[in-house]
Amino acid sequence: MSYDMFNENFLEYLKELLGNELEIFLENSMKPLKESIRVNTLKISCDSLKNILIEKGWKIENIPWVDYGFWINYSTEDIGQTLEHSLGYYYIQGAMSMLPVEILDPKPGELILDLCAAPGSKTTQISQKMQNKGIIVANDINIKRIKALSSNIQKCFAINVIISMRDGRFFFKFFKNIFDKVLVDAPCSSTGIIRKSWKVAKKWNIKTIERLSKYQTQLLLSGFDCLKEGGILVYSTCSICPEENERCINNLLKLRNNAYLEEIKIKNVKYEKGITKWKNEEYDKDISKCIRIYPHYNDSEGFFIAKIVKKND
Amino acid sequence: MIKKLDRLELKQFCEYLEKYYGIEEDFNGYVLLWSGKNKIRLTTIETYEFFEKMKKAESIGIYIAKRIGTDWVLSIEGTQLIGNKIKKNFIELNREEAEKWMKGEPIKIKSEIPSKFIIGKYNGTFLGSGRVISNTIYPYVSKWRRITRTCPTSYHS
Repeated sequence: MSYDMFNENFLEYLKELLGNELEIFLENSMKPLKESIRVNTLKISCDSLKNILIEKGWKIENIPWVDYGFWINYSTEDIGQTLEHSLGYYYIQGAMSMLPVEILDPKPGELILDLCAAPGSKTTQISQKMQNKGIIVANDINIKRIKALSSNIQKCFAINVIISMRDGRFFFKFFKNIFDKVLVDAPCSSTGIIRKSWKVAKKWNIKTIERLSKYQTQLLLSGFDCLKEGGILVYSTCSICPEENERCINNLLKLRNNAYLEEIKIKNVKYEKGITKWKNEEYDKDISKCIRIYPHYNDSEGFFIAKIVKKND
Repeated sequence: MIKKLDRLELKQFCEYLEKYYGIEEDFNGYVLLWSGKNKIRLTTIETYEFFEKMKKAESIGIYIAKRIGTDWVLSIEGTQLIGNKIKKNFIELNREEAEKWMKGEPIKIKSEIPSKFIIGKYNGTFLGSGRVISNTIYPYVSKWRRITRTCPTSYHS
């Protein structure tokens, strides 16, 4: 099979990262990503929506790691152009993209910061987990993306959200030590979702990865500083590059001595532990508590997720 | 500019809803806010209290109603919030009409409706408001959330 859409440097990089799993990764990258939806339980119950969709002739399958997520194996219409979608009964969201919020585990009454929130997939998921009780501050830097965020919050009936437009890297200057939980779903190279856009594989270059890595570290540090003592931060990207993931976590552990990694406990997801050695870099041993999910493991997007707790100084 | 409705403004809004839609609602537990001159947004009390402490924020909660002249028109979420209290000025639609409504297409009706605005309802769900002109309803659905096309059956792996 030819993998023309991967540039040579990226192929070399992947070979080093994946070893003998490279071929299966590349094969998987050629397949389209399965469509999936999240039921917006702020508007309708899973059973009610399931019945509506089945009655319409759709074939749906439970996503094993979230009880309100479904794969759409067959639909009688474009899933983004239905009455139910327009009414906000469901949100089109990647199956693995629902996992970071599950790990964050938002509870009603908490004060939560979503630092890089647009277009709002995870913000609205957090809101439904909180049953609209408590407060979410959804921040993003980009005005165009803020508009999408605002529309999705409206459609999903997330009434407990405040939208903020600040540079996430400096958010800590205004809101230090106050949030119960923080989600940093950082902008990334998207190397875990090549199946969505082959452009990612074609245009990949290490300079961009290095630039992103610095930016992501700054966001992570800022998000961590916004947490109160005992608070939980979840860091996630849809990238499989260690520079954007393990290296950022390692930087945080080095720069904040009250940051500790927590073991992530999830069922029904195949994953690998975070890596502690990459090229000539050695990372903190605790980084093995993070998880990296390759796209071919669960027939989904690729993701990296870390769970961090802020302890006493 | 986001500003809380004062007591009188809230009272007038509630009175309008009661008179026009038969809705008895005092929005207890929520905060209603002006967003610009003519739009009302809704949030929770604790969310608003935190919002007040923030020096800068873009928006809060969701939009539930807008003023057109001397009338109030409820948004889709506005009607869904208080839908089960609506007693008059709503119309039951069938699936085909509901889909047309969410496409923003005019809907012809057989009998004339005496009011200027009407709320659409389909299968227990409220679809927001529409403007009535003689025997036609023109639904208010923002462009960004309209159903724009219908595609044929799709298969997925």
